[in-house]
Amino acid sequence: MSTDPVVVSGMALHTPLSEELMGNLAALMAGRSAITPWRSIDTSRIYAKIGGDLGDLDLSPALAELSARLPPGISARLQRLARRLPHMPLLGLLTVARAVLDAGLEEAEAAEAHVLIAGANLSDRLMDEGFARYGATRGGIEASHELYLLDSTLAACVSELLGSRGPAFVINGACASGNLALLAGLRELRHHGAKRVIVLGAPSDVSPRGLHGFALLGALAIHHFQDEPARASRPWDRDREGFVPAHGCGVMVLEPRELCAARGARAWAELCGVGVTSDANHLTLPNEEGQARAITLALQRGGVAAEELDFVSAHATSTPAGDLVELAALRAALGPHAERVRLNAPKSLLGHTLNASAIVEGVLAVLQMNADTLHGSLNIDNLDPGVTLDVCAAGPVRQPVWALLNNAFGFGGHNTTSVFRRMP
Amino acid sequence: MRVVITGVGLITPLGDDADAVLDAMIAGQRGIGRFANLQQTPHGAAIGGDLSAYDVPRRVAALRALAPKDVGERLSRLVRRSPWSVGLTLLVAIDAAQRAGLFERPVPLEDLAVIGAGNNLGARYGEEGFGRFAKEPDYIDALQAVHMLDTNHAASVSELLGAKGAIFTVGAACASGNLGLRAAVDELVDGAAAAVVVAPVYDYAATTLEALGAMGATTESRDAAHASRPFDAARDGFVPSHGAAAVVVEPLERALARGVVPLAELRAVEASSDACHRPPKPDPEEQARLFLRALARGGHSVAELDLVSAHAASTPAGDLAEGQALARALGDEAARVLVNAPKGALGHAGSAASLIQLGLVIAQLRRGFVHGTANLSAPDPRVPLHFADAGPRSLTLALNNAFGLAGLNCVSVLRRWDGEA
Repeated sequence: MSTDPVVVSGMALHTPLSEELMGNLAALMAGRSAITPWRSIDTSRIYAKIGGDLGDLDLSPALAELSARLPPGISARLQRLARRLPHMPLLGLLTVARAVLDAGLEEAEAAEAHVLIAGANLSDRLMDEGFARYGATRGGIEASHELYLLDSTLAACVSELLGSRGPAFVINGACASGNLALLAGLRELRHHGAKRVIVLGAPSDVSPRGLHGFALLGALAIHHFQDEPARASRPWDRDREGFVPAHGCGVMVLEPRELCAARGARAWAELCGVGVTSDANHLTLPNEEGQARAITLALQRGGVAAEELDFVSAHATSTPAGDLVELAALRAALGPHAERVRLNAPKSLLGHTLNASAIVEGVLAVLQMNADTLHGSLNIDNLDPGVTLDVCAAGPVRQPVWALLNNAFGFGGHNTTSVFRRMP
Repeated sequence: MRVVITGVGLITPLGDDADAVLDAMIAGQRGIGRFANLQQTPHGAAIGGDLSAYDVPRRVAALRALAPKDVGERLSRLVRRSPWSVGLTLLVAIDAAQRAGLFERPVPLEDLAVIGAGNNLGARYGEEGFGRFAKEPDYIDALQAVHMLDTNHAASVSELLGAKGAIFTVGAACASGNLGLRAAVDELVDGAAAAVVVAPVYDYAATTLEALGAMGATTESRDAAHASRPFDAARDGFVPSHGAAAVVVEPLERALARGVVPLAELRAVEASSDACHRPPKPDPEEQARLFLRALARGGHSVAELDLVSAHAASTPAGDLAEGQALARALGDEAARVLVNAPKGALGHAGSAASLIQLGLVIAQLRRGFVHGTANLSAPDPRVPLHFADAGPRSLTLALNNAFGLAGLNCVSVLRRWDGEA
């Protein structure tokens, strides 16, 4: 069993704000929101009207640009896969290709990767379109329908892209999926001899029905700020109502530090550890004790003392209960040091990228750490009086970061956090 | 770390107890009929292994009687409020937990992990919901956003058992069950006291059956008793079936310290992929490498292997690839090592299949008695293997295969528990 430190040797993002790492960082620092009225989703029969939309994006320019830069074998397979894949899985695959380039992986190095897909139930829209066609005609279901409905097929497609015969699978825990995949990634490296792991925080192709389900649960912001979409996601603000869903995906390449150094590659950060706990409750009741245990476990596994933390990339989805429970959990787990860390809420700008969120936000947190700057939490017009920690309410802040927490809590009592440390 | 299995719960069309299912298979019974909750589709299989008429209230009552009062109350409440498929998940989970002695000799609940195995499980629930949504959006299940998620299975089991350790769900199509075991071993190595792995029933929708039929993956036969014929020359596709399973895994030392007798030792679980997502192209060379790697990781060689419980779902390409891979990996030992395929009797339970199969492998190891392969009357001449007839055999080591759609592979190696700590 390897105990070599694990580093993040490649990253990529594709959000409504940008398809480049630095473009995303700049947009966050500028306080730009990704939220607009949905264009690619028919919202005429549902309450949810706004989100972060990548559903109508033309992917062909990115495909052409990436194909020209990738190693020839990967490039050829990307173009072949692009002819087959539905829109959202292709978006994920293009983002994997960007991460391969960022990590500087050669053909043979990419082929050694184990593949993890963070997220499940990714293709609701494809599924519902199938139900609609079949319901109307008792036909119209193609042979490939089931193949591309299965989340695991995305894992197989990434393996095919990379030419990797290593293990490839899906790991999920609702909106905590990304951190669960980071945990599984550490285990592939430490227990299963992987030389590197590609983790795709997969985009969720939400359907009108899926959005309506969130709305009926009372989880979405659907009443206020609908005509000012950029203001609807407002973690820690007094007038927050619920989350705003968004398309988007992110990728991390994990590698033992020595292997990364040996091929002369840059390491973005060290992934120290991941904590996972359950609340033993299948509904949607955030729980301070379970979240605090996850934080404590992650720090303990990562060999990081609470006092080393400077920054927490909060889960903060803009729900009335959840945003405050998270702060209480941080106080419980970090003790007095909670007063000395800074938090921010990436969902205030990006909305909630659902299955992908912990990878997307992990990538952004690492970018902020490397930039010595934290983005502000957007839309805090009136800070909730229950918020007594520093949540970057006033805008971007210069802040050297040596260690950070990346929180993600999912429906059904899935509590997770990952700990990253700056490279020396 | 040595890892053992201490409890198995399953529900199949041939019964809800591993020993009883094995008895039925040995007696030559088949679990295939029709799906009572689905209409025949234009291209979909006409037959299936159905559990939609399974008597859930009777089973709740039976298992509740064996559980502590609070757990029994939660079982009853959760089953009543959950979609059908989650109800079966809860039943196999409580059965496995009870058989593993987790109620009488508990592990700390903060160290008890729950791992779901399988994704895209709730297609029929989704199809019904979509029908309601199409008529009047506000009349869908108010908890749809929770009930549609695959993660709801593990989360419901976590609530049932009060488990507060790690929780997550893994999936690799029809290899998911074995993959759940692999994740469980990792969880134990990283400190969990025990893990409950649950592989829920795959709740086929009409569109699922139609797509699988259009793909040419399922049988065109209407002869329920004889359609599923793994490795037989006349096979033409798999028979979709319902089925669910759960197992409890824990470190050997902790099981013994709890005073629990293991059912079997889990020697290794290994996974790989074919790097090719378009079926049907299972890769015999990749599969053969995987078999040998799994045996080696468990510290074993082909010479020690007694039984292979094959994935063999009765598809022309899949069975051929697996048969060729086994012949290659077993070499001269292929004439000795027994091979059988439970899907002949049970059909294919999708993501749950390999965990159901694991329960049957354990039952065979414990009894020293193998089942045969239903409908294997004229073996495919391209597959030179020693297919087992039902009967008593000396069994110590078994391989349990699973290969998922799009080239996702995962196999497990099990050893009979002989009391040797």
